[in-house]
Formats: sequence, C-alpha cells, structure tokens
Amino acid sequence: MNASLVRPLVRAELRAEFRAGEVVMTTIPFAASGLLVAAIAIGADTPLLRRVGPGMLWTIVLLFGSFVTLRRTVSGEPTRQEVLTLLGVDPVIQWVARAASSTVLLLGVIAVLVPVTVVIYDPPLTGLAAQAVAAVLVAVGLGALGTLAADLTASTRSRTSLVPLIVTPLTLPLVLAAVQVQEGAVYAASPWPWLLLAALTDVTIVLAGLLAARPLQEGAV
Amino acid sequence: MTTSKRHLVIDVAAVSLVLAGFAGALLAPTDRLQGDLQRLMYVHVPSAWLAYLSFAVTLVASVAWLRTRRDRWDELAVSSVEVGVFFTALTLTTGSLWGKPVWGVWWTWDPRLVTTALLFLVYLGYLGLRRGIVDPDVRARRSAILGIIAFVQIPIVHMSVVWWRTLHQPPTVLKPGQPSMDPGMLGVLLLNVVAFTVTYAALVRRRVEIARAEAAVEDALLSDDSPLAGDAVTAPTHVEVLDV
Amino acid sequence: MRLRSLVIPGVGIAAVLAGTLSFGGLNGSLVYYLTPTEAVAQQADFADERRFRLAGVVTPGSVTGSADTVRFSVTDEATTVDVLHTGAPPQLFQEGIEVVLEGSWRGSTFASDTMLIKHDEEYYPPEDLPAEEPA
Repeated sequence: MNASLVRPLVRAELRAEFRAGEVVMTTIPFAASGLLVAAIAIGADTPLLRRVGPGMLWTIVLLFGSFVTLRRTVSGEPTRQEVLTLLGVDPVIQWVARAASSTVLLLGVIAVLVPVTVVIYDPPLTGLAAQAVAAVLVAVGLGALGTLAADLTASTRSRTSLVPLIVTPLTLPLVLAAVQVQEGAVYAASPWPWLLLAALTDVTIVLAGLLAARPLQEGAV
Repeated sequence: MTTSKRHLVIDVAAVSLVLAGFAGALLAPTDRLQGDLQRLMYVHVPSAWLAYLSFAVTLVASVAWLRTRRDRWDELAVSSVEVGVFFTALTLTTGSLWGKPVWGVWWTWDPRLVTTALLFLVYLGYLGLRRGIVDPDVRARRSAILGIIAFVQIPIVHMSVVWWRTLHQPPTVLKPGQPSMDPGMLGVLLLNVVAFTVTYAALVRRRVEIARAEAAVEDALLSDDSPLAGDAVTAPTHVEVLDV
Repeated sequence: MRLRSLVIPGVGIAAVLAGTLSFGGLNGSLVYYLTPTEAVAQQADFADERRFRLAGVVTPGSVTGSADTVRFSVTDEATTVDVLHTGAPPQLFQEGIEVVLEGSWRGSTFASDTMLIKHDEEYYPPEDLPAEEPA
C-alpha cells in the first residue's frame, strides 16, 4: 500500500469534476432550490424560519450530499478501476482517494449552501468555530459513507435511489450533531458531546470503508 | 424423516406455539397501571427480539459467506433479513399503537424509536441492493459487506435506553439482576418469545427454499442449453438463398 | 504501509471516543428531558420561553384543575416544580406517575402544552406488588 498515491488520485478526481461540472452545475443548484422550496412551504413566519434554518440546511446537505458521491469518478468507473488495480494501486488507496475527493466537494457544497441558508432563513450566527468543525465532520462522514455506498451499488440500475437510502439513516448522528451544535451555541451550551459523537461516527464509517475496500473490489465486474 | 415432513413439524409447532402464546397473553394478569394495554408487550417484545436475532443471523451468515463462499450462507442471510424487516416493522407498529394511549403520542423524538426506525430503513436498503445486482456472486459479496456494516446499529438500539435518558423505559428482562415483572407475566412473555422464535425458524426455512428455487431458475436462464425465444420462429427462406 | 497499521489505531480512537462520550460525564446534553433539580438549576439558560422537556413524578395530592387546564407539581424527591398544563392529559395521567412535559418557564411555574406518560420497566398486577417496591 503506497499512501503517496492518494494525492495524485485526489487531484485527478477533482480535475475530472471541475471539467464535468456535475456537482457545481446540477447538485448545488438543485440543493439550493430545495432550501428555497422548504422556506416557501413553511410560509411567512420569520421567527419559525430562523429556528428551522439550520435543520433544513443539514437535511438538504444529507439528502443531496449522496449525489456528490454518485458522480462519475475516475477510479470508480469499472474499466479505470481495473487498470488502477492492475497497476498495483491498492483498492484501499483508491477508496481513500475517492472518499477524500468527495469530502472536498462536499465541503464546497456546504460552503455554497451556508450563505444561501443565511439569506433565506436568517439563523442566529453564533458559535461559528464549533459549527465549522461540525461541518467538516459531516463532510468527512458523508463523503466516506457515500463512497462506500456508491461502491456497493456500482453498476446497478437503481443506485441513484439506493445510495441515499443506505447513506441517510447511517449518517443521521452527523446531522443531529451539526444541528445540536448550532442550537447549543445559541444557548451557550458546550458543543463537545456532539462533536465527539460526530467524530465517533466518522471514525466508525472510515474504518468500515477501509476494511470493505478490498473485499469489494476482489473479482469486481 | 423427509425434508417436507420436518418442515411440517416445524410449521405445526410454530402455529400451535403462537396460538398458545396468544391464549396466554389474554389470560395473563392485568398490569396495575396500564391495564389491558400492557398486553401489547406480548407481541412487541418478541418482535423486537426477532429483529435482533434475525440481523445477528445475517451477520454470522455474511461473515461465513465471505469466508467459505458457499451459496447457502447467502441464502440464509437474505432470508433472515426479509423476516427481520417484517418483524422490525411489527415492532414499530405495535410500539406506536402502544405509545399513543400510554405515552400520549404515536411517535416522538426518542433515541430508541429513532434508532429502530433507522434499522428498518437500512435493512430495506439491503433488500433493495440485492434486487439491483444481477450477478449472484457480486450480489452475495456486496450484500455480505452491507450485512456486516449494518449490524453496528443493533447494540446502539439495545443500549440506547441505558446510555441516554429516554422516554422508552429501560429493559425489563434483558438486564443484570432479576426481571422486574410479575412471574405470571414473565412466563407468558417467555412463551411468546419461544413461539416467535420457532415461527422465525419456520419462516426462514421456507424463505431459504424460495431462495434455492430462485437460484435454480437463474442458473437455468444463464445456462446455454435453454431454448432461445427466437427458436420458435422458422428462419425466412431467403437466408438460405443468400447462403449465409 | 499495511491495512492493519491503519485499522488498529482507528479502533483505538473509536474506543477512546466512545469511552469519553459515555463515561466522561459529557452526555448531559444528549438527554431527552431534564429533571426538576436540573431544570431549576439551569433556569437562567432557559429564559425567553425557550422550550425544553421536564420529567418528574406527579406529587400526590397536588392535582387540581378544570376541563382543559390542569395544575399539579412534579418532583424528583429533591426539588418540586409547579406545573400549569394546557390541554387534556392522557388517560393514564394520575398522581404518583412519571410524566414528561414539554413547555417553558413562566416565572417559577412550568407552562406545558404537551404531556407524555413515562411508564417504568416494571409490570405487576394491582394486588401483588413485591413488598420492597413502592406502588
């Protein structure tokens, strides 16, 4: 296993995404329209919108985040994956690179959706440092589990709905932590228990991904 | 005994035990606070137990498949998930029916309730995943991996009422020390647990048979000696003229 | 680098995190409700009608009320809080039962609008309670 291969692989994944623009041109606008529709559905109740804003943001990130991991990846495509494996790139390294690139893209999605939420919902802006940490933890967990789920469902017909079905329930602790950190900040409560919970979820997901990478690729079609 | 006779024995045992458990549930003493509502426990608790049991069987079968690559482990894993998903749904339904009159709500933000609902959804995802993959070997491998990962939730579901302060009461029977329950009620509950477990075994056996039959159909469809749909049509004569 | 060199520290980190979370006294904010003692101690944090859940045993002899409002007090044997509940209480509501209330502070009274009954994990017929168990 050669860990120095992760960086060039991540760079290749990101370059492919910037050329195709799948996340920037479809996922982000779709997610932003989700935020807008939810706000309109709730109606003209500014105090209520302020309260539900962060919850809406993280729900949207969770639901649409799966699409980021479902994008066309360099090492996820069967033929390229076979070439990489034949070249001796460990499946674990390929998985780490895919998960890391998805995490970077998810951070980008969150970075765009946060200002949109602030504009539409006007939530109280307190405890931003803890919330930034929570956002990173959400991106890591969602990126890792989404990549694992995308591998599990590779070349199946229903994968666009299967990946969210597998990812959404298992990443609920992350969303819960992110929302509670925000709510806690309003009332000056400590964010630590929630950040620890999110970190624990992340570590568990990453471990599962590392261990599943080899059995998943062995004899893959 | 032939296989079908053994099946008959287990089916009859399951039906009669369930009937006995039902009678016991009606005859058991009435709870001091909840009255007859508490009788829902005789369905709710065994269903929850079966959810744990079936997903644990899936875990073991998934590990066994990854080690041995024998088809029967994969058949057992999927059969157990299907039965488990049904009983998880039954747990959620009876819990909801019990919660409305006793707690005052059908559903509430409570760790035990939420984790159980997530369990249900993830194993539905497992079944969805299997439907999406055609190749039996790839299907078995991927679902074995998901069957192992998904089991992480089970200890969280069971311990949620102990770790967190929740609305759902802590365990009555599966805890250190004496069960905090009337012996008569406990007896009926255990009878129902046994009845449900035998029912589980009967259902899984039937489902494994179906899985075998499905695999046989798949094999037959994939093998070359089966007639093609086009064979029924006689080739047009001009092909012979062209001498292809 | 081998897979094991990644997995073993990972499992270690997970164990430390789980340990800190469950035994480090950090799970205070993961709770579903506050006890009367905690609610009184944290009264300042829950100003401005911030909603929270309060759970306690209905003090025997404290229940008075009309059709759609009930006054009573809940206790955890150290602290007692007066409650004004709006709405019809669930059918199991009675003195000496544990309830979970949703609402906010109004002065020193807890104004609740949602009541859940929290039943215990003990099941007995009415007559033969074990001697050491209070009803």
